Amino acid sequence: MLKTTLALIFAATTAFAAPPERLEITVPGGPGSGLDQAARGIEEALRSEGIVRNVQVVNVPGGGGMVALSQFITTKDGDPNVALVQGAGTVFFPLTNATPVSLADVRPLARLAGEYEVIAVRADSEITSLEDLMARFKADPGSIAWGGGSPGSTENIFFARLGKIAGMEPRQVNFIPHPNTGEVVVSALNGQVSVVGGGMQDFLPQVEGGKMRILAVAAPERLEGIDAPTLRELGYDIVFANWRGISVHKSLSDEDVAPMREMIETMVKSDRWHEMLAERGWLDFYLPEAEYQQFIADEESAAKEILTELGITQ
Amino acid sequence: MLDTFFALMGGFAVALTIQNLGWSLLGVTLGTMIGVLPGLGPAATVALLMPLTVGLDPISAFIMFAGIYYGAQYGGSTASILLNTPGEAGAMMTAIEGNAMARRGRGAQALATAAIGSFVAGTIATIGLTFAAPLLVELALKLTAPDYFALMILSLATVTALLGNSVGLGLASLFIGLFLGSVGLDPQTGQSRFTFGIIELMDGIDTVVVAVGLFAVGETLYTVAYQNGVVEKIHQIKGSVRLSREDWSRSWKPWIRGTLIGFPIGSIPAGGSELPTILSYSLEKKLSRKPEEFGTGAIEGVAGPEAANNASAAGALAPLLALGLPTSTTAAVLLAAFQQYGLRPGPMLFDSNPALVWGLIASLYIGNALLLVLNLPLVGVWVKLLSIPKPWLYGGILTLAVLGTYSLNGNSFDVVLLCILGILGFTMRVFFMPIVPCILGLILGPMIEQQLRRSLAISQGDWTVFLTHPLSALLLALAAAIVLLPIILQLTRRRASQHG
Repeated sequence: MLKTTLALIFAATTAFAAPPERLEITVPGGPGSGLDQAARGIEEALRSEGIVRNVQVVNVPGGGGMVALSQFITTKDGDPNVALVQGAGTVFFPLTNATPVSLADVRPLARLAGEYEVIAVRADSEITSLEDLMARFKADPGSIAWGGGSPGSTENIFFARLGKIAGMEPRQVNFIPHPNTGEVVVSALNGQVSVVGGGMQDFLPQVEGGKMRILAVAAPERLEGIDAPTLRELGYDIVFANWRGISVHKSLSDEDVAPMREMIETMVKSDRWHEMLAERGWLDFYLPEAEYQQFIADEESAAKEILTELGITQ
Repeated sequence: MLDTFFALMGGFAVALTIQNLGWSLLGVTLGTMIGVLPGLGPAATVALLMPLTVGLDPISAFIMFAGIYYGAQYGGSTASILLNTPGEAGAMMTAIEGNAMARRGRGAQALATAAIGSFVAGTIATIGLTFAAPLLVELALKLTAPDYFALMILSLATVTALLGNSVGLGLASLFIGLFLGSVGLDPQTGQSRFTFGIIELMDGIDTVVVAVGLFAVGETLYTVAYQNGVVEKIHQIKGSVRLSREDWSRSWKPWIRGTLIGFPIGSIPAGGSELPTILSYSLEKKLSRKPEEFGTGAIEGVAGPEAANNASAAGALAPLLALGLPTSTTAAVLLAAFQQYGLRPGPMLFDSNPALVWGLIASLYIGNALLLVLNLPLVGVWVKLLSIPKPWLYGGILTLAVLGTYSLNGNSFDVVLLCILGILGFTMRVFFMPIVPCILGLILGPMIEQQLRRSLAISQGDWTVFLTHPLSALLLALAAAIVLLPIILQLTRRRASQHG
């Protein structure tokens, strides 16, 4: 009896916990980076919906996001008003570089938004379709240059998996890394790489301007407004996305986390959040704590496998 | 052409309201202030201000952002000249001659040629942006990895003159720079190199930390160690603060040449501001009638790089406005700002939102003019800084260097790095090792490596790509000519004199 009462009281307190008074969001990246935009999007939604009025975004670039992670872990112990944003890259980076910290050292709280990866070529490329691309790749693997972000990035893993499903060695994928999205688009437009990968938003302006074409999307279903098949339809069973999520410090108890959880639950249901997702072309990728942590574990083990085959794990 | 002109006039109509002029003034003032502090750059400032501008009309917000962007270039040169603390990579070359001029009592002239040169370059480059952005971007897009590689090699060949008097010491300095540049992640495989397990080193060493460490901290330590007893009057202003007739005649050509180098290179996607300022500096040194003055305060060495820096800043906006491509950090932040307003920059932006684009471009002209008006009268005030007693001045410089470095990433590790690099800069001075080659190695090394390895990855290891790409072949031939011609000429002259 006592046990149930306590449980009820506990459930009640967590359910009615008000969002925190103030929030500080640590961004593992510089201003303008993908994670920075996500953090500022969260800030904007929380403020304009009046969920949390005092929101501060702190940029900590460096070390593939690991400088931010390590600062967060050492200086925010027990602080329930501080959150950290993270993305697919934050999972992959510790795999390619033996870093002293990883997402295992924080408490992932919710996955929020994301974008499915797409494969694109310039408008007048000889490559007509994904089938055509894969046929050319199988005939002469080295001749296809696949452009994407940094080594070990989402695109690197995505292309390697695609190559593997096509029955080739992941290492045969001639991946050409780029320091930023702008340069990926440039490499596609001037044709120095055969195909490029990235989020739809990276290429949408060029696609609308008639300068690029989308060959396929790594989404479970076709994306609205984009005339391109899914990889699944074409027989390549890959769903791959670049996602953004939010974490808190590992030292916090369930009770400490309750206000933050309430804040996220209110935000993901708010109008401004959904309005903003639509404006920026992000998809609603909300996953609550337990599912999110499982998702990260799955992402990590899949990435580890492919990165080992690529020979760039440590 | 005429359409563009009318569109621009429409832009002026938008930007020239009292309200928007106010935002522009606020932007350029803020920009100048953050430019003076090394570290906090225009990108971070715009990112910080973005949430505050939510309720603002997008045109007003972008006019302010443009002011910050241009203002930061002016502020950066002021700090470089007076305090030897280049706040951003593009201001490093300005620091070399600019600070030497300041120490010879010609700080006012250095500031003036920088301000007027920035205005001239900024205006010409903005005109270029207005009328030639789409064309320029189309040309810039054609450059592929082998072309970039050849361009870097050509740059390297042209800057050998900057190695200094002793080739041995110059090369040693260059190799220190190359080593510092190779710290971080291997660009092709993503594996860490020379990071000693320190995660802060994984993204490489920031150019600004190296420049401030070697220039400001190194110089300060050296001065304190070796010239403490000497009563120095060199910081006193000599004569008028205005540019003399000779200063004008030595400045205007470098301004134009700097603009012509800076604008096109700034507009190419991997161009940046470092390459044009280095090229401009070495070109001015070669063309100067008084090359011996370089290193001790040659006005051409301020006028050229400063113009090149501002022109490249305008050029960097071309890919953003014409194609929606963020090719610099500031451009990436501006792109995020566009998105905040639900705008999508790209090939369609000129059609879908002409008032905004042309208002923004018009505000670049206005911001530039405001900056000149703001900065020229301030020259007299700024140079007063130099009459501060030396111990205080150097104390102030060190404080500013540390603060600026910390504000770069908000990380105390960078401050430790700054101290180490300061000691390195001091040691190099003790051994008469020139600093400039080290900076060249640091900047050009990683660029050359990345483009070389990217070329070879795409060509699957075929080295002939550098010769089969016409532009690459041409640039490499030029580079070879620059290195080999003087040697051949010397040999033939010697032979001729032997025969004679």
